[in-house]
Amino acid sequence: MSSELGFLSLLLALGCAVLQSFAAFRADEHSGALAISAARAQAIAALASFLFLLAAFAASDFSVANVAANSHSTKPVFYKIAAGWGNHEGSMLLWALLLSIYGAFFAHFQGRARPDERFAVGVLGLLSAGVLAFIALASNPFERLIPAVAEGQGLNPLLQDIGLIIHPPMLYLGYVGFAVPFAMAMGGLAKGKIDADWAKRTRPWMLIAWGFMTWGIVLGSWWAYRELGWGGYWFWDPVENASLLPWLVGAAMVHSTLVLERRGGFPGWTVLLAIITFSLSLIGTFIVRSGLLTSVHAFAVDPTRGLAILIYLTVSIGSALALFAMRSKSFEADIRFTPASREALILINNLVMSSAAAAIFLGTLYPLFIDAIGAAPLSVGAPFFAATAIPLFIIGMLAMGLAPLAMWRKGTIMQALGQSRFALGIALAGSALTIALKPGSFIGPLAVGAALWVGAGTLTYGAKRRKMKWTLDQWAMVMGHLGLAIAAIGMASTALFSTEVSKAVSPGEITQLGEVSARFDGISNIAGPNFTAERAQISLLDAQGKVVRTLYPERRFYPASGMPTTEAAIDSHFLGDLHVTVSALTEKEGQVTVIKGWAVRLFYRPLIGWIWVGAALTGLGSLIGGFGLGWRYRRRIPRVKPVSEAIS
Amino acid sequence: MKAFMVLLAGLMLCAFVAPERPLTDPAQEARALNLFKELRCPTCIAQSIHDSNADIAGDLRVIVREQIEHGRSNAQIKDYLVVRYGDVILLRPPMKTATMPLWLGPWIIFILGGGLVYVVMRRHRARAE
Repeated sequence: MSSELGFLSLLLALGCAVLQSFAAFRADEHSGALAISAARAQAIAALASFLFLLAAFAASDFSVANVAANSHSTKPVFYKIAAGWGNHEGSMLLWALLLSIYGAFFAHFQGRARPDERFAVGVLGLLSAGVLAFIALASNPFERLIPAVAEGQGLNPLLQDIGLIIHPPMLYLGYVGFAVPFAMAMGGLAKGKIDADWAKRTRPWMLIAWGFMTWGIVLGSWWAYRELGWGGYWFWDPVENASLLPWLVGAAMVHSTLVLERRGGFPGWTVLLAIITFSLSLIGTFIVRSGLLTSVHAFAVDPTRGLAILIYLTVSIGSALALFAMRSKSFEADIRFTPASREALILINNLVMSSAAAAIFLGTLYPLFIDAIGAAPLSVGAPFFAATAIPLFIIGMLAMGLAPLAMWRKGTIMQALGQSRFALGIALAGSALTIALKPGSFIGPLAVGAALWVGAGTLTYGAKRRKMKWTLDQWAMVMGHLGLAIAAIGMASTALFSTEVSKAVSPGEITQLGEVSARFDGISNIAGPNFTAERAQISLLDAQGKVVRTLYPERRFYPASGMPTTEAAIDSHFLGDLHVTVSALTEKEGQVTVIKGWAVRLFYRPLIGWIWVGAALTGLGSLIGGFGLGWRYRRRIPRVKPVSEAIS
Repeated sequence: MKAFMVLLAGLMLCAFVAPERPLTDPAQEARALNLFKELRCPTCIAQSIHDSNADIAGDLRVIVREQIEHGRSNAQIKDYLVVRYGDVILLRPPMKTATMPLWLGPWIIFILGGGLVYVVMRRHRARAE
């Protein structure tokens, strides 16, 4: 029954979304109030629908096709519920739910008085209606399975992990959140003006979405590190790339909107970035969900769905770009600035972010393109992305370290460099140290120098203002930039100084990796809630041979899905992680595979934890800025009573 | 869905790590590890043979180590594998006509964008005070 109620709620949400957009596009005040109510109702209906789906998963209702395909009765209940969004249909519903929640909040706080914001409420309604209609027609998570099956097919065991429970919602909060600046861009283009005031009203939403997106990416990377067992944190997998695209262009957007707000500059470019960022979010969803690019994330390989998503994409992106083209003559910005002012440095940031996004876009889609023209297939992997994107990021970081210290409008090279002597010294020292430690690396010293340059530049900025009261923007900037510097130091150090060893071992044998001595004590068989595992005991020894820590990497087997997984054991420290995995050495004897022995693989990853901590700090800065500025803005605008309330 | 499960099963196989005997010379072993990261596991999706435990990846690691022991250069080893598997084995696509847009595209965009930035800066140029 709950499944039918869920579908009904979904249709209700769809109705509300349609009503919302119709009402919002009408001019009279009464319709305006109606649109806001419809937006709220849409969110409530979508939430109800999603909860009904989760209830079906929690109860292991295998008469629902989606539950039967993606859950299993032996799963811990926590993971049963999370399986609700660990599949194509459920994740689309989550996407729609988050869009309706953003829409409701936007309508509630900002959808009242101004024509451009009213228009944006309408655009959000249309976006919702499209997704909800797609879910109802082509991707129904509530479809019944007749006859019902007794047992579900389980979930990809790799996804049975806390990181994967919170990663998708967090990432979606980012992807979907960019719908609000997109809608504001449409509103501003159609009904208003893209100016400083527009920027002030839109920027908080951008910061919120970008902050969540950052956290989502961090969680995904952290999951891959712990769960995939390869000791890496970023694989340049097509889906990872898809999430990086809106993140990069979103970063450019956040900064150019700042110029628009403070100086009234770059209105056309800013609004174009707002359109492109959300377009890339949609394309990201399309890439992940259509199965066009296969990866561990691709849930559905279904051409009709792909086509439906493609139509949705074309209509929304196309109409926004058409609107932009129609209004492209209307942007006025007569601002003046010097080539070393903050405006100019932000322009360089925008250039770098856009070029890096273009490189990643090209690299991700190039194999498909080559395939389509029938040329000899090729692969584009990590070495390409590293060789192309990293030099661009280094250029960007040079501007980034300088920008906060440069003045608006009239900054000069001498002024900015004079402020950043400390940073320059630190950066050069870091580069020199890297050359000494890792001779022969060219990009390494540059990367370390650039990271320290950003970090020290940000600290200089903070130190100069230590006696002042900081604005939210200053907090956001300092946290964001410092976090990025910390993450970049972690990445550079991991790339330059990681070590690894893999070795076949017998019980009692010691594997040496640098200063680490790891003794393999043996294997025990254990049983988890829905898996069995071979668990290795690895003792880390100090110089005297005393056991300092014991690690338990596992090799798990999930009978429900028939898949084995590796569970790494990680000894994390401030200065680096020791990452241990165990694998069986097998040999085929006739038809059966027998285990002949065991092998351990040790990775030492210096400063790898800094990557996630730093990037999380960046996301936090963005969220504090976004929520703080949004809250403050809301308190400043007078509350306009909707007509309906005024009458009663 | 079935195709997807097969795919997933393939991925799972790739997610396992089997060690082979590392080379005794640490410099050669380091070279081997770096080379592994440049070579794609033919049965996996976006994985290098460094990260994959598909049988074929293990075989390739053995081949690479053997060739390094025999004193072949990285380029020779790559050529050897390209003859057998095609360019698709290389995670770093080779520079040739078909890959020019890929390798140069980002930098052309960067340079054109840089030109645009220059034009914008000139148009909005202020006198330093």
